[in-house]
Amino acid sequence: MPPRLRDIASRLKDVGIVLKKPNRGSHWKFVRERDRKPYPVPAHNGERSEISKAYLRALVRTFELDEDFFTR
Amino acid sequence: MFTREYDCSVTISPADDVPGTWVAHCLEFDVVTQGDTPEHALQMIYEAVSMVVCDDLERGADPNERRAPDSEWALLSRIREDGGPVQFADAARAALDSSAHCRIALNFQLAVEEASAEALESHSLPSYMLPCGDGHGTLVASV
Repeated sequence: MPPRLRDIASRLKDVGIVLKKPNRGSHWKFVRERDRKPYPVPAHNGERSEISKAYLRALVRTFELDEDFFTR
Repeated sequence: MFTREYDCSVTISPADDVPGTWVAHCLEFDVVTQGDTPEHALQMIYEAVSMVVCDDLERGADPNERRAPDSEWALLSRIREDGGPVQFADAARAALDSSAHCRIALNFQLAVEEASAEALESHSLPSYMLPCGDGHGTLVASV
């Protein structure tokens, strides 16, 4: 079962990366609080959106997290 | 007013782990998003890349520092070399109709007005499509 956005957001919050809802468009974004670095989130189904592994791989690269960050 | 153009190389393929979802990846900025169809994924990646570039410019960062790993560029090269040139709409239709694991590669240019960090427009270029079910063959090859 693919993870849902709300679960990913909860995990990232622990490391200072927060989910921001959009002012316009379909993309929410994760923002790393220490440097405001953003990464867009495909949230067209809200926090229930199912998120692919391909997206998660790019997400951990962007925020320099361990490859197994979401599985350990 | 200063306008800067960014080349965007994009792959679109079905998500292995989320049925009915298409994943779009812009390699220059290592931005991945997803949509319910290839067309939706294209719309989403354009919006996602616009957001990343504009946000980076606004916070004084260089969006070019984001870049996908070599393995993703190798996949793009494979699609371009082995796939056939098609119009995106034809590729998207064929991908949905096909039982093969199809991949689409395309380019667009993103124009950003730097003074306001606002995306202006995109220009679609020919797409390339590679069905990867068995790793061989070209599904569509007419422009």
